[in-house]
Amino acid sequence: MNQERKRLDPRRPFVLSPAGLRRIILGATGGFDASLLAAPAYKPAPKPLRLKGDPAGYLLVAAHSQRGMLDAHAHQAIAAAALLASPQQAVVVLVFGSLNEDLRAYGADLVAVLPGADELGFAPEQELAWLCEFVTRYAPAHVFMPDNEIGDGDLGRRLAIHLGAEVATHVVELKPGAVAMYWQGGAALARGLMPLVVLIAPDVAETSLPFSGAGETVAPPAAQAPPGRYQNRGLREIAASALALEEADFIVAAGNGVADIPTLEAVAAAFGAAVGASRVAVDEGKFTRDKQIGATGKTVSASTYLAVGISGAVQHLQGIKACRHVIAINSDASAPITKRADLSVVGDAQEVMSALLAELAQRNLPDTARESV
Amino acid sequence: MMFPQLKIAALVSVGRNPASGAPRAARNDVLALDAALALAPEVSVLHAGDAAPALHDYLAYGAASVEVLPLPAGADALAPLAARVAGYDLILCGQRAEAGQGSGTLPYRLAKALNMPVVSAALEITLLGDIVEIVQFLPKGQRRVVRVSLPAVIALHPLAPRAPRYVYARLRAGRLLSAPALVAAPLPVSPWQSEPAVKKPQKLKPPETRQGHARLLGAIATESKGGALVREGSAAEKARAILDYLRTNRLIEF
Amino acid sequence: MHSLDHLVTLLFWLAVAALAFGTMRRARLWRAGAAAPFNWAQLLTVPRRYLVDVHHVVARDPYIARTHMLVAGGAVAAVALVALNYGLMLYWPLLNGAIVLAAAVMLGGSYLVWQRRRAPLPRLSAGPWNRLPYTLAAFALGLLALALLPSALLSGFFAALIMLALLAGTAELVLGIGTGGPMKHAVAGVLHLAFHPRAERFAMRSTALRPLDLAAPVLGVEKPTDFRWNQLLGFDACVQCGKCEAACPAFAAGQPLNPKKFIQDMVLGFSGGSDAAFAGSSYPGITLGGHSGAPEEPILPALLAPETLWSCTTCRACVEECPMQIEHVDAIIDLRRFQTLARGALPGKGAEMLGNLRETATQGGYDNAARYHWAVDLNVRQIRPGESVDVLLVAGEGAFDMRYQRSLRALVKLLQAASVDFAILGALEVDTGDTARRLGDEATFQAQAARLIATLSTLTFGRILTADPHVFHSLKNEYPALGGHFTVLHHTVFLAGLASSGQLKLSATSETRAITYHDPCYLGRYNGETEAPRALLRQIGVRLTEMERSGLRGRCCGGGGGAPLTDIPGTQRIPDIRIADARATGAGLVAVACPGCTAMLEGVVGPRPEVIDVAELLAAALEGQA
Repeated sequence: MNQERKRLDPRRPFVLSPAGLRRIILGATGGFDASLLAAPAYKPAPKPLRLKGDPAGYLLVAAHSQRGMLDAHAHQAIAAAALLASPQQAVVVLVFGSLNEDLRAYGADLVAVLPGADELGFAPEQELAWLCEFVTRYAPAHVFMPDNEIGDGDLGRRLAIHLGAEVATHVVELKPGAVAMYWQGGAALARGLMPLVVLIAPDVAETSLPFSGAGETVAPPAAQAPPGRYQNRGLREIAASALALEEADFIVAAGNGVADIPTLEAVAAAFGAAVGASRVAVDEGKFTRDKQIGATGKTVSASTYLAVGISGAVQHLQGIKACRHVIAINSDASAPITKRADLSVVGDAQEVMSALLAELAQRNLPDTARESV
Repeated sequence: MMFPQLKIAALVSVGRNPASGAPRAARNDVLALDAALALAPEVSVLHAGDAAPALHDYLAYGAASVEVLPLPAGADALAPLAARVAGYDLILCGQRAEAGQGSGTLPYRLAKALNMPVVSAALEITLLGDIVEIVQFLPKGQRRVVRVSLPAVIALHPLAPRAPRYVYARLRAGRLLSAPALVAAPLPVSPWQSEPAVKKPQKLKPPETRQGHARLLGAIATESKGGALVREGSAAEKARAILDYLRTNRLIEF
Repeated sequence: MHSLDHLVTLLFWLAVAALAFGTMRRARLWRAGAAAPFNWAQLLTVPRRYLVDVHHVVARDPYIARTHMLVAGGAVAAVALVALNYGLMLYWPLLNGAIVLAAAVMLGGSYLVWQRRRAPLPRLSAGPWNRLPYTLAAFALGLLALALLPSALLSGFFAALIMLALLAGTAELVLGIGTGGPMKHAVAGVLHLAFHPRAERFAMRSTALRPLDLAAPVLGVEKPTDFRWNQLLGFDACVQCGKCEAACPAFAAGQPLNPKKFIQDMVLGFSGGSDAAFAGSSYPGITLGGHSGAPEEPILPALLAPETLWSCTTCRACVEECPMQIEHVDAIIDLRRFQTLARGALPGKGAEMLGNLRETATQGGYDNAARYHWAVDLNVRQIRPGESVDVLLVAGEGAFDMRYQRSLRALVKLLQAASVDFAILGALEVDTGDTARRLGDEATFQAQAARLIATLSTLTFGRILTADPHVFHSLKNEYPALGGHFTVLHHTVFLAGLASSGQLKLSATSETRAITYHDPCYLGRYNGETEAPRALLRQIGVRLTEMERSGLRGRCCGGGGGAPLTDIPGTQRIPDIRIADARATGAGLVAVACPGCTAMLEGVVGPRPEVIDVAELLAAALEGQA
């Protein structure tokens, strides 16, 4: 009797919908096909336009691009403006530097690009003149900028002081018409009405939006500032391996489980990461003392910490307390580092490092290769 | 090189230890003081506010004296500071205060009031005659070299490569000087209301439109985080697991 | 015959004059030092200090104790008899007989010295010290010949030979003090014992540092003459036996410190000159000849490299071993005080820790309010003003360390099991400032001490209990000079009392591994407490296997004196050496009684014995425990 009942195969072919739901493929039989996971059969439906009709007002977002891309912080500034804008307010984005990405997904309605003025340049008077021209042209209710260290925090303050306008900096919370920011080094939260210039801290707004911006290109500002008082003498680049560990955002660190230092340094170079070491590795003379991470060495705060062959003595773990993502490659699954790590790979450090290098060599596309220098 | 003929001022504030909240010399201002002392033997070290005990720390860090410009509580420090440093060649300060609002706008406002150029995020400062060259901080190991003519306002970045020394003997020898305020500071009506920071700030999000199942999935997805252990598989698979993790968390861009 | 006797008389008085002149010359160098109390009557203390305190140390090596007794005893007796018989021109044959006896004893001693130096230990200095057996033997032989040989032989060639031998021996004995030769130690040693800068140590175990007057013109020691004169005298007492060198954990770990060389460098400082002629082991990694000093020149860096100064763990092993009772650690701290207070020149994380102390009252820069978070679920009373309690528990910096919190929780469990009336200091506790003091920051130490004393004075309690020997030492020995007088107990002592009185009921431990016990320096050497922890371990049925260096002569874990903060590199690490000591006993478990030792020994990577606090072992052996 049971044999007559038709049973559904739990592993029948399916795809994941954009919402994360599992959808079976009707009529198909056989096992689970992993390749279908990677390429969702469902194309995302075009999102509706946020802006309804002709704009009756504007919100201005200004940010510097890097290598033709805005960073996540700038995306958040655009998304924040889009989320706060009324249906009749258009979001104008002024990009300093070239732009090779589509900003509609973040809610940009009008986009003006100033190629050749990216974060590497420094001409605050000229940039201020351009920004002021846009402020005059669009009379925005608010100007949103990421409060970052690639020029926007600087320019935003210059704008506010130049206009004699109220400014809110390091804004950590945005609500319609209101902002909040930390005072007293984080002990107090100050709230107030949203001023003209709003410099936002990272991660204050969600960037996956249910709507889309119009994304029209508009003419960039053309104002010319008189010869300025600032003279840009160019850039100096510090090799990632020479970068102070405290400053590094990605660290590849070696312990006594690493015998082959050149491979480790190659992995670090491929990630554009700084090289650190555990006390034992330093004591063995494999690294200089300024590379030591831990209670007696440096305290680091990288977002990513790749610990290779480090067992994770208490003193070492103290030094990486502030690291956001810890990944461990270790031959011993019971080493203390695995309790701290967000991802632990148990295996021979040398093999995994070589495999990493091979994978990275395969995937490094020419235009992103620069990232890894 | 020392430039004794230059008038250099270092603006200092009362900082705040992040763990205890105890008043202290603000780290960025200590860097500014240290950088100023490297340029000239005599530096005017100025503070607008009360003669707080924490200012003694600046003596330990090398200030021969700290001149305190009296300021009513809550009043704007700009006017008395601007009046005091008028005529100075170089004004150094920390990029952002540790206590108070810490908006990082004071250097800009001071520069506007004195009609001077202002350069922020300074790591190294070199004087070349009447020109000052500044190495500016940029993230990811980038540095930018900028030159401006004196007089100028320069704000020091927290990562400025200086090693200020706290010396008790200097604290013992130095003193705080009370100076009369040259300009009465206006008491502004603050548009801000401050409260103790207890709750985490809320992230600005689009209104929730997903249906129950999707929201549940989302909730589950955020719950399962970290601590994963990869034991099995080839080295290449393990390498891929690492790269997948890095990509999922947007830690690499390729 | 008469002419030779008169010649000896002449030689004797010339020698006395040379000795007096040399001593005065040397004393001029000592007196360039800073003021210290002085009283001639102190000279009366010398026999007792020599025969009890010096002998106590020397007797650990019976060979050298016998040798020195023969050679020095013989020499002193012979010289005294020569003074009588020849100095006073008595020329009695009977006294000559006594001289023969004394000289024979001295000759025997000289032979033992010679034996010792035929294959010298690496810790011994060579150079001028190697000629000692010969010159001393010459002196003894000269006297023997003078007193024994018939007068008929005492003329011409023989007389000249005898006088030559006597001259050589006498020169060695009396010129040393003026020229800085080996026999300098005899005069300087006697005076050092009399005018010792830490005279308390002859009455009891004295290890507390002297408070520094923060208003003094010079903070600590910059130049050799900033040392007190009796400290300079003490450096001159050194016999370069190298026992300190053999005991120093930093030297063993290849860090650039050697206590013997350090003392000799201080001698160079106030007498002037280069270290090229030093005839012992140098600081590991630092070649001889590169450093020189002068009385009015700063000691660092010309005479002493900063790395040498900051390698010391203040474990006092050198002081414990020194037969001449020299105070190496006090000198190190004096130098550190100047470097820290007047130069701000601390290496490594020292300055950061001091800033943390000033700003947060914790060494690690923690929120002090979190100091007793480990006790929130233990139902422990927090002391309040107006409420009285018998025992007040002070946790120390270890309270922020998750590992050490296990020990503290075990201690609380034991106190509760023994129904002790106790409370914790809670968020009122601030750091004792002990580490700041070892790093030379007396200003921060005194500020912390004033804070803690003010807090404690508002509270009513009988005794202070702590599991941290550094807190224990600080509160017990160093706070009294700053006005804080408390009864302070280390947890092992307190628990031993509870266990022996039956208040704490313990059963046998279930631990089957071999156990050894590591003495924390600040409990053992600093406070002489080596028995209580052992008694406790015996109580739960542990049969200890002792390490090679234990008790008062235990080896440091490397965690003292702020050494983990200054972190001077060596060829290996001190805790690795200590764990090797433990491994050598075959122990699977090292019992400890200090949060610093726990952290240092647990920081040793690779397979090693487990490190467990005595309190944890006891808590696991509580009676009625499942």
